[in-house]
Amino acid sequence: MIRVPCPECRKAEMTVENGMRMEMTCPNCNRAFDILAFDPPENTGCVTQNRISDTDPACFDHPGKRAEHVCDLCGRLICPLCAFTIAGRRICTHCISSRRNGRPILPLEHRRALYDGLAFRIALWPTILFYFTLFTAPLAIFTAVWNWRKPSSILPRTRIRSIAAILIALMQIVLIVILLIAIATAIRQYGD
Amino acid sequence: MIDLNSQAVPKGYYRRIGGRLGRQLGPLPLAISIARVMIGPDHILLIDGGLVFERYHRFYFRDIEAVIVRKTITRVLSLILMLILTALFALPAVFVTDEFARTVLIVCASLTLLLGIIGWFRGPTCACYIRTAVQTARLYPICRMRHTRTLFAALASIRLQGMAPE
Ligand SMILES: [Zn+2]
Ligand SMILES: [Zn+2]
Ligand SMILES: [Zn+2]
Repeated sequence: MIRVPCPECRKAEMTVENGMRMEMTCPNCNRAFDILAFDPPENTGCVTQNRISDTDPACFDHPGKRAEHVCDLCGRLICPLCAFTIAGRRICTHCISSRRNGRPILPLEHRRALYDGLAFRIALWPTILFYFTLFTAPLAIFTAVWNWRKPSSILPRTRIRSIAAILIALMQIVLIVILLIAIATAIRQYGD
Repeated sequence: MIDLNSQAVPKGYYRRIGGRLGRQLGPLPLAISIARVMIGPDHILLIDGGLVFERYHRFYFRDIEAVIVRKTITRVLSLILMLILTALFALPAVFVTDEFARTVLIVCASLTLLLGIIGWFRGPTCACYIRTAVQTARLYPICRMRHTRTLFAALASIRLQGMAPE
């Protein structure tokens, strides 16, 4: 039997048979769940597989010896003979032998910074945002021209905003066209 | 035994399961990855992605006591929301006399309608949790019923193979 607390309200428990898939309803919040329960975890030595007595766990590798430590990496119970202290961590012989390529033994990482991605984004965002002007520039011109004859604010004002919008948009389009021509020429030169 | 602290695990070590939302959209690095669920040979890796940092949560198969799935009404709610937005854009378009305004409204209405239809056809939504002896964690990227089918199938095949101790 596996007791599963309701993940939504956390106020009630549901019990499921090992290895079964069952439809359950939380007795507290009445939500329906589809629960796949697993068989009890296999004994990998990380729990008290070997025992000397009812209260004393035995070393994973030496069934006759009392375990006094827990491996900081794999959780195996180990006797003082099997425990190595490396960089302030107690590590079992299994973890030491599973070490590869002479890399230092470290605890599992839980967080990494992706500076490559950050650098890429910093480099790329302005470039990509620039290409948006390919769409925004014609849209700006379209908006200004389509609504040219329509009255603007109730207060008197000139057409300076529309004119500025059109000019800026035209400049952006010219820049993009120049860029495209430059790219095309460069590609053609490479081709020859 | 793979050294999980190495620079990167070999290709094909993990298999991704779950939502497209949590995925980087093709070559466009503008997309911020939100979360991903990967299945490895002996554990499930939940990656919480941000702009700069990635956080890793590992759930070893031998520690998983149960997988819990609950059907949600998110799909219905988002369809209703999108239909309301569509109506909000489409209704004024009928009465507005200005042609420019009408064009903009119609474009917006068709966009929201399209988003609603796409969301509906991506399948029924759900919430998926993983239960270990010490915690219950929600796997956010597994948000559609078809993802849970893949997850259940993967876990079942792993259970059949049997988990050999290292
Ligand atoms: Zn409940
Ligand atoms: Zn160890
Ligand atoms: Zn020992």
